[in-house]
Amino acid sequence: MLRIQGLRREFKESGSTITGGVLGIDLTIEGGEFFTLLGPSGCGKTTTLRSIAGLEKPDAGRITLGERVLFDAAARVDVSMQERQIGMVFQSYAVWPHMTVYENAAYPLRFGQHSKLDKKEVRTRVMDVLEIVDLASFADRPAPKLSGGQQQRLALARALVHCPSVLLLDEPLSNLDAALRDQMRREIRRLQRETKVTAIYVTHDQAEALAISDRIAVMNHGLVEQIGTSRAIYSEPANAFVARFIGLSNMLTCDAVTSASGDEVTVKTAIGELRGLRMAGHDAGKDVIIRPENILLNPPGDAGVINRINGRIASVAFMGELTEYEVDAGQNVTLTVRGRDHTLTPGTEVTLGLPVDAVKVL
Amino acid sequence: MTLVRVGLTAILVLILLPLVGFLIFTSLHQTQIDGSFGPTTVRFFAGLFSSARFFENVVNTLLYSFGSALVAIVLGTIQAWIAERTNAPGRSLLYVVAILSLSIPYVLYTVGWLLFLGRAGPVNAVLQAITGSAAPIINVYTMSGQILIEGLLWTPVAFLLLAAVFRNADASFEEASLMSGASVGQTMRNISMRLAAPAILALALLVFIRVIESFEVPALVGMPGRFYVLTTDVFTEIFGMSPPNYGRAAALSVVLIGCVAVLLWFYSRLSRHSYKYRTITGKGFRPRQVSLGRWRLAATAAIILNAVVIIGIPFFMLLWAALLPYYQPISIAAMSQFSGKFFAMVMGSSTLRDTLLNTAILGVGTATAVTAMSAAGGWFIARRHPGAWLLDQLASAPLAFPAIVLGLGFLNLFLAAPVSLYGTITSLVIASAIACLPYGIRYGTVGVSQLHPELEEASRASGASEATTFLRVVVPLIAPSLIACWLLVFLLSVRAVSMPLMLAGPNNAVVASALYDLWKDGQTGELAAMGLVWTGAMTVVSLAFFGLARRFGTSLH
Repeated sequence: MLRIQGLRREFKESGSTITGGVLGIDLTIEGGEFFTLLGPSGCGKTTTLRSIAGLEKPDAGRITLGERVLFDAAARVDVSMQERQIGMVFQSYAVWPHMTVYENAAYPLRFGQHSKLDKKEVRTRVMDVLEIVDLASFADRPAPKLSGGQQQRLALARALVHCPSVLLLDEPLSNLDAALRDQMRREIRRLQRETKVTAIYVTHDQAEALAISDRIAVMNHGLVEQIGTSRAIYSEPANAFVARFIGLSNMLTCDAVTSASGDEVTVKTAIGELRGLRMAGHDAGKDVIIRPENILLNPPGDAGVINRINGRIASVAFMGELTEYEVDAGQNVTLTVRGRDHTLTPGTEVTLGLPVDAVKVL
Repeated sequence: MTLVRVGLTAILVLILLPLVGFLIFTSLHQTQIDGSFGPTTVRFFAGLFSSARFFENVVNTLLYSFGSALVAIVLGTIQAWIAERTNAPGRSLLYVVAILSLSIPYVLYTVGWLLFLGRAGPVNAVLQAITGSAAPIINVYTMSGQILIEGLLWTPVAFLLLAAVFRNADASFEEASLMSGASVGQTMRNISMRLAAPAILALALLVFIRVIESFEVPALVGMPGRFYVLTTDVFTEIFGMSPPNYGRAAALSVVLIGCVAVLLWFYSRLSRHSYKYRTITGKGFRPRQVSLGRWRLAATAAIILNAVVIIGIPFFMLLWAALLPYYQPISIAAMSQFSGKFFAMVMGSSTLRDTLLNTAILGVGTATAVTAMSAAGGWFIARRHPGAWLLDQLASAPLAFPAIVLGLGFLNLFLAAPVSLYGTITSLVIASAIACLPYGIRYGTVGVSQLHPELEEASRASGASEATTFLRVVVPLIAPSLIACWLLVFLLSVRAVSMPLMLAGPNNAVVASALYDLWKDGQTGELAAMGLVWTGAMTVVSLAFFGLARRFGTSLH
């Protein structure tokens, strides 16, 4: 179990304005978990990861791995990074160009402070790990001769060869093209399951995060906005930032909760009164979130949908499986709707149905 | 590595602090015959500022430096533009000539020109034949002669630095101008030269500073012609007086260092400013070539003329001198006396063998020491280890010392040092290493800053120590920079004569100082033969340097 308490690391630009970093976060990551730090650039996710690795010295806080204290600002404990025994995959892969594939993967075992293996054991371990990432046949090839995906796998092999208890991944897929990215994402997840290593993954790509993670911490301006499973973060965003950052959302400001029965509330918005569900921990009701794929296009009259809004199609974008419509709902409100009906054309009058459980009130 | 870092900083502090301290101290005290010091006095400074000779020398220095920098920058800019931005045939010859010129010792080059322009040289012979005059028409031992020779000496370096500026300029600025309907000429005037102007100005200032610090040409041209610049003044106060006037020499040195330091500060501001305009785009970057049309042949003629002037003339004159048993003006009749006597003498002499060995030790020792310091120092500086700023300042501080002043400082230091180093080749290696460190350290810092930091972080994350990371990852990856650094420092350390002259002793004669002594003694034939043999060997080193620098794109200053 990796535990982070009160971690702070501020970056200041000539003067005192804080320009980035981490402003006090707490995280508990279970052993064997695939945990993702997600957020826009400058949110502090990479700083958090680098603090765990020991590449960054936090201003305050405490980091423990199981019983071991890796860092404690108060007690002045700062285990040097070669002693931390973590594995790390870098955004640039950082595969050393002056070495072969084998030499790259063997490096932690040959020069790491802790490994005291003889040559034969090193060879077995390295070939095993190269086998897992499917690079065994490339062992003697110079590292720069590998393709992007192969370099990525080599970086993974190197990070895993000394059996670390924590694997840190810093935007490892951002330099790959789209098709390879999906394949590598599955590969990373498979390796993590096989090795049962605790993985901490940093990305700004919400789709990637949703697909790969057990749990996600959404970060913004150096703070954690929400921690939860992919499903929870998507369907029950804790606040407007998370809702906007994860997936596409229609956001409406609402005046006040006019009536309430249990979790069901009615709010007043620019496009009229809407019946919706109040999200946990939010009493006042300030924002309404509606996911585009939850809006029904021209629902039949007997479908039992209470919220009905009339609008006109402003633009159409065919996306394959779904078609995305921008619908002008009057009062300067445009709603994005995604549906399987591909036949509507701009200018068409439509009725939008908003099921009560699709209207989320924060 | 912390130990290395602290050690390196400590060594530099322990050398530079006493060096400067000693110079200042000497400038403020009378040095007695027995080496002890009198009471504190400002009379050396007062003497300087009240003497007409000092101001005359200052004016000489400024005139000489400005003139030489102007010659070098004008010629260098034209060559750089032709080499990098035009389609003139044979433009790579400019590079070959510039690189070959790096292997010629300053003294030898100057002598070649003195033979060409001197009283018995071919220029005067031709002019006399035309005018029918019995006396030589031109006198090379004048300010103009000195400016011309020093200017030509700096032209190849100015060319190499400026070529980098033109090479790195983004062609899309020019293309945008052409797209807007401007002509090639208008584009040149309004865009290309405007964009390059800050860099050209900065480099002009750099050459100006370097010429202020120069010693060889003023010593060989100005001193016989009885006019002095500040560096030759320092030299004369020590070696032209009995007893040496240490106080005045030190006061002069302090003034020189102060001026150069101020100019260097301006240079660093200017050059920082000049890079603002240099946008280098990574993708599909290629500089645009201007088609010269009918002017191509003129450009090629200029390229060939440059080769003749920079290499051809001095080389021919030296070969002529080396092949004749005694020096004679150029004539067909004299050719019947050609002999290999001086070459045989030079090859067979045991003194010369010692000199060559000393020079090799000086070059190899200096290059190795500087490269080792630059690799570690460059890494500390580029990665902002604690104390990086101090280390950076210490390593670049010697830039502000003209070689002759650094030599004087080391002379004082070695005379006072508890360990007897005076007159040894080791003393020369130490002094040269400090003098060359500013050039070397740049190769280190630039080399490291081109590495992605994650390459090192990956090693640290693998559990490797700082030292292992440095030796296994950093050093192999910056090896090309380090080899280029080694070769350049080798060439620099064996080329100049000021340091060997200031620190000369019975056992540390090197090629440069031997050439100087031979010229003083009028042994032109031996000088020419020895210089040519040495230059031949150095050519191999400079070509290796060029190959590497070109391949890995390391800049030259």
